[in-house]
Amino acid sequence: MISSAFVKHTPKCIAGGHKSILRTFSATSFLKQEDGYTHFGSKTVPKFEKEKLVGNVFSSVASKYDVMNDVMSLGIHRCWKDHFINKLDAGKRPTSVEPLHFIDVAGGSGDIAFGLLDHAEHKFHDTESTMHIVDINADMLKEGEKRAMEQNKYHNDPRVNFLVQNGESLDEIESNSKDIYTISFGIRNFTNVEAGLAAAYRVLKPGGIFYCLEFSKIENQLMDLMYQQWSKVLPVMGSIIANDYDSYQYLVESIEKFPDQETFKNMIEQAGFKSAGYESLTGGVCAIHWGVKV
Amino acid sequence: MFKRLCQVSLRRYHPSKGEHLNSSRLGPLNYGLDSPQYAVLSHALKVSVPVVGFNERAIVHSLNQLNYPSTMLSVIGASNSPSLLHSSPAVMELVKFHLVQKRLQLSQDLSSEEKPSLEDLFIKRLELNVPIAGHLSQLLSHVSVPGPFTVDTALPELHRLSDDLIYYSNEKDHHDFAWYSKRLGISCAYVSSELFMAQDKSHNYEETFQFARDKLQRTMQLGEYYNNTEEWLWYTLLNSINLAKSQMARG
Repeated sequence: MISSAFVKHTPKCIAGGHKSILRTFSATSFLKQEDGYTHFGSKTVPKFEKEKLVGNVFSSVASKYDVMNDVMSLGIHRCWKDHFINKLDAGKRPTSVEPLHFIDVAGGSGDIAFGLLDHAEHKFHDTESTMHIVDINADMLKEGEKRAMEQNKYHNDPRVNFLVQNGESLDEIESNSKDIYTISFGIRNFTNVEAGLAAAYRVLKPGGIFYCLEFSKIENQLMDLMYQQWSKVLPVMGSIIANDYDSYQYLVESIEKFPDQETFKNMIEQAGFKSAGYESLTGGVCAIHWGVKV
Repeated sequence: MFKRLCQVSLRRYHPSKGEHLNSSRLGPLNYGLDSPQYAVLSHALKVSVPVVGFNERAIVHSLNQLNYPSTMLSVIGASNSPSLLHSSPAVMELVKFHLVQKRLQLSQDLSSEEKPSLEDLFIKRLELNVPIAGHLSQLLSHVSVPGPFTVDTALPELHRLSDDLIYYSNEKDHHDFAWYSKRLGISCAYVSSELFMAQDKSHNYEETFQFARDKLQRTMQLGEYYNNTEEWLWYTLLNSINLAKSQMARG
């Protein structure tokens, strides 16, 4: 009876037999599943399938991405993104020599990328810095291009490039070519987060900065309890607004699976970044992490 | 075998500095002496701030001089939150760096045999402000704007400074409530001296140093009043107990 319950509730068992009871003490052990398998929300799936499954989720939510983000976070995601952009405070200063080269990974919707360029222009009169908006999902990228077209800014702009790319490899991006790497609410969907961090390290120039906005672990227990209740409602909201229960169920589960602030900071350091740190936002609902390539 | 035993006996059962790697980070700063942030900010303090003051131009000037990209501004400001009342996170870090570096500089080159007096250390810290004295009002306006930066950085750094001033000097320390009041008194004396220095036009800031000496002397005098009052209160308390005891013994 006990063993049947164990088999029923342990996702690792899908990966096979006796391996499911192995415990490790490494910081990132919970992200590493048995060879060839990884997590997809609370499920364990073959690694080669996760990319496709995540792709399906985002293709499904692309058209209602903004509405759902507002509903899911009660509009707070706009404050987080604003804070992220203001904290980074990037842009070519009037007395600086070189323009900056940004890359916004998993940034299909374009909100962070356009926000960064707007900030650079309004605050520093920077109209030279370039931006690569990269996403593995062509549907999400189309949303970003559509937005650029609607606002009549950054569309057909030689400074802004939209590129379908896997963030874990960034094959078409040259090594040591970028000054600022940003990723917002994207890294938890990577099949291999370490590979994503290694790719970020590769494309950044020495002196470049990795900046990440992602859901994290809530530090206050009362707030965590409230969030747990709220997360139960989210898939229902997804089914009402976007007619898609499963995708939003995945989003909630992927947030639960993502490592806490300290663990993710250690992962950034293990990827080779220096002066890594983080700032928790709204009691740890999400966090900004950073690291410097020296 | 004997060597091995010796090595084993060197292990301690309590935290010991000898058994841990020293952190390369400098106190509350998120980086060490060998980091690019340290190189840029120390250059800015030495070269750029005395000319242009505590602002972003000072950092950009140093970045250009040292051939660093302007992304370093984001790197430098990473540990600060943007604030409406501050110009940029990088400038906040420059201010923080000034406070920390000058405090650490104070304890360098100190003789281990003879400790300096509190007044000497106090004046030495003010002398470290001389190169940037023309821009001291800018600095003070940054640290005194009410907000997280003041609470999380400026005030704790002021407390660390007054604590270091007592620790590294031959001043007697106390292990009662006077521990707090002494630090508070020195902090107040230091802040008022810096405010005086920001407006001082005298030759080599002589009036500032005189003001600081007077202020410190008055604070110490206040300490004497405190000690005397404390002693009197203890005397009265013990006297009262003895009186009560003798009354009770009489029946």
